[in-house]
Amino acid sequence: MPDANDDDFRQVLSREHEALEKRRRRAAAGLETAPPKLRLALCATLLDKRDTGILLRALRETPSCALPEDLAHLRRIFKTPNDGPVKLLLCCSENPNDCTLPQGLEAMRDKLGDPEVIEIPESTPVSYEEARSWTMRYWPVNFIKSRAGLSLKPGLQVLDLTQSDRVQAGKYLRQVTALSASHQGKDAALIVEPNADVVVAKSLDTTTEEGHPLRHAAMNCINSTCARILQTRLSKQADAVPSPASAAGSRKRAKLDEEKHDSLAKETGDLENDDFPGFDPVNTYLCTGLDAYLSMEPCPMCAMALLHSRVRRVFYASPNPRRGALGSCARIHCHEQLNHHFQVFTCADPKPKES
Amino acid sequence: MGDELDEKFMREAIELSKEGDWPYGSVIVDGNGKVLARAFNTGVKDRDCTRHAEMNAIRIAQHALPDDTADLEGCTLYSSSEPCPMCATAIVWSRVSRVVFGATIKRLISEAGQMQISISFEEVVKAAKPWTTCSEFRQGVLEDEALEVVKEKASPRLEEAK
Repeated sequence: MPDANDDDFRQVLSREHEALEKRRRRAAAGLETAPPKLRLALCATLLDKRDTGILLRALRETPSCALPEDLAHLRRIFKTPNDGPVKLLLCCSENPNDCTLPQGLEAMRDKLGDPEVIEIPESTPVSYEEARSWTMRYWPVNFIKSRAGLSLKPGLQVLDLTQSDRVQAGKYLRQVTALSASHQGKDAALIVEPNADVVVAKSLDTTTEEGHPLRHAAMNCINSTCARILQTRLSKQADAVPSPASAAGSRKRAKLDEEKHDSLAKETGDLENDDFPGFDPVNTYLCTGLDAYLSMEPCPMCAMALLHSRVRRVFYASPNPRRGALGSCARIHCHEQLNHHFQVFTCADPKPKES
Repeated sequence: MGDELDEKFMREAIELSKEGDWPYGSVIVDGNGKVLARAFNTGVKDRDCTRHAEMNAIRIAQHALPDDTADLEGCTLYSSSEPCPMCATAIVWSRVSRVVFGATIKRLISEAGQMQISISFEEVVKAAKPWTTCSEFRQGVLEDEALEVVKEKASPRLEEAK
């Protein structure tokens, strides 16, 4: 059986957003969702249905009958079932005992029955199904797609992965998991150029070998990528002009990191050549446009380093309930005040997969 | 460690911040007052976003330690500005005992127009409570002086970036 459709990813969103998505899914499946927040309103029965147009115009033109912007989902007309009477939503109300006709509507008194106070949904429905269920229970509401989401910054938007995104992500996520598995389960990381479909850097956690607490896989991977970019840039510069003394130092350091990268690449039997078709280190600012694949959800340090590095997307295989900063303990990428946003995905089904 | 010593090392960190690609400097001092590392931000030169002053200092301090373990327990880290969450977590992982910093993230954002992320050092350390050995921190030491360097050096660069 082909498994191309098996790679399913779950986007890690803010808690608020996740609750909204959950509600949407429940409603779509015909399940009960939390009841809406209700508020008081005044309605009245129309004595003659033929006056509907006149009344609607009067309501539009009467300032005290205007509905606030956030109640745009409410319908004015309620046609009661079985061709029953038509009710009209007159205005919002604050006092449950006050049934006086709103100011400015006096001329319509003889066309309306006695006003009554009712409860209407103040919350905005998140799906068509939810709107229908509230309509049956409270008062007719419309599902307005553009209002059904949270107002989010562009970077925090929900992203639907395309089929080719899924295939690519599945491939690299399996690769990074395999890399980790073949090194006693040490954390592993890959940085990938998605358009050229090539691995730019791959790293393992080397905290124990190097005796350095900061050598997490994602950190090493970012360092390798940056070193690689710097190395290429400097050698291009050196071709053009004699390199200044200061650049030589940086180049040496970059070379060292580069060698480390290469030794790992050799060790893992997958040495990338220096020439990446489609990846242009000279014009790449940090990791802009690159994707990171991690065997384990990153800690806050690595998550922030990924943020600083401007990666495009982060995929991780297993969550880290104790230290994870992209879903488990914190959701740094959902923070309101970021100068860069990346999308985070994890396996919808964290079951290990045969490939 | 006394306030006087804190100010002395903070002044050194501020001096270092003037050398950085971005105006941040950091000093790590061990329990006996011996300086293990002096570093500044090299993010632009290395084209590496993780080369913050604090990160560089921790990397250097590792090699200054005799047993090469990078266990910085008992050390104090001075930073001209409040560590970002990456550096804050790095401080937790490298077991630094005490942190002293000058300009707070809040003022870096409001007064120096820095694109800092408003997650405070305290917040990170609190969240890392079960593992952290960082038991004490002081903020706002020589804050105005530290901020002055940031304003002077970073503002023209931010304008350039716009």
